[in-house]
Amino acid sequence: MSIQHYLPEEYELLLPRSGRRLLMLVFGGLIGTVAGLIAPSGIAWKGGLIFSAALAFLAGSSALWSP
Amino acid sequence: MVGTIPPMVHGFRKRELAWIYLGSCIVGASATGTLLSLLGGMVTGWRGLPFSAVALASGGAAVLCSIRELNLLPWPLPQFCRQVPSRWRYTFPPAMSVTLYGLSLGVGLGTRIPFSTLYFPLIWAAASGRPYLGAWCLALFGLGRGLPVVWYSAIKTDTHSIIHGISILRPLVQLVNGVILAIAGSGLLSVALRWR
Repeated sequence: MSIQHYLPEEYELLLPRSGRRLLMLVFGGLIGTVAGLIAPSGIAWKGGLIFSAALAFLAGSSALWSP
Repeated sequence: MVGTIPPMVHGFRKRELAWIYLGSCIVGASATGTLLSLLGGMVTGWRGLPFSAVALASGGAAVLCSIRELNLLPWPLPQFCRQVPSRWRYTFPPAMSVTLYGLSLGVGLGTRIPFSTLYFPLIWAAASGRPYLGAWCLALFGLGRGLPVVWYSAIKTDTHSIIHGISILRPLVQLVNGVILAIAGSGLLSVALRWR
């Protein structure tokens, strides 16, 4: 069964327009700022490297969409 | 890439090719991480940069990248616009061609970069100045790049459905990348300003 079978028919309409994307940026920024403010100082390098490794995995799996 | 690799590894008898592709992706990506951290180490005298400087640089880059990925201000990514040669599929034996594809795509820098998320671990690998950390960090890029292909090699849907299904999900993937970059960037910026 193909992937599009699992998507709603109005899938493209569900994708946010520029106003909502700006809100997502602000909302994501707020979440990150709060997380950064409450993060304990002992996890600096270790936490950063684990986070960057997670983003590396995301970048790798997203690379499937390269032309 | 999606039109080249999945057709090569799709099907029960070709599943081992997908595992070879995954292994080569991890090796190529680890090589990039090692090289970048060696360069970073040489520049910083093997001590790495101070954490607040790394957090400020990578946080600022992540916020800029999130603005790009959310399509609010599209700016061109510094990248090579080459693609892996499709002739490798026909000029080399299958195991050799998937190895070459895996190594060259795993390196990540020589071909097109679809989303700017990759720049974040590249900055961290270079800034750490420790080759094993750079290799470990970028190995996950290779793992992420190879695993979907292993999965596609195992499912029974025909290749054209896979390619079409993947392509329609692109805007959603871009959105997810943008939001995660916004969270990462603002988090690191606030950490950098707090601990400077």
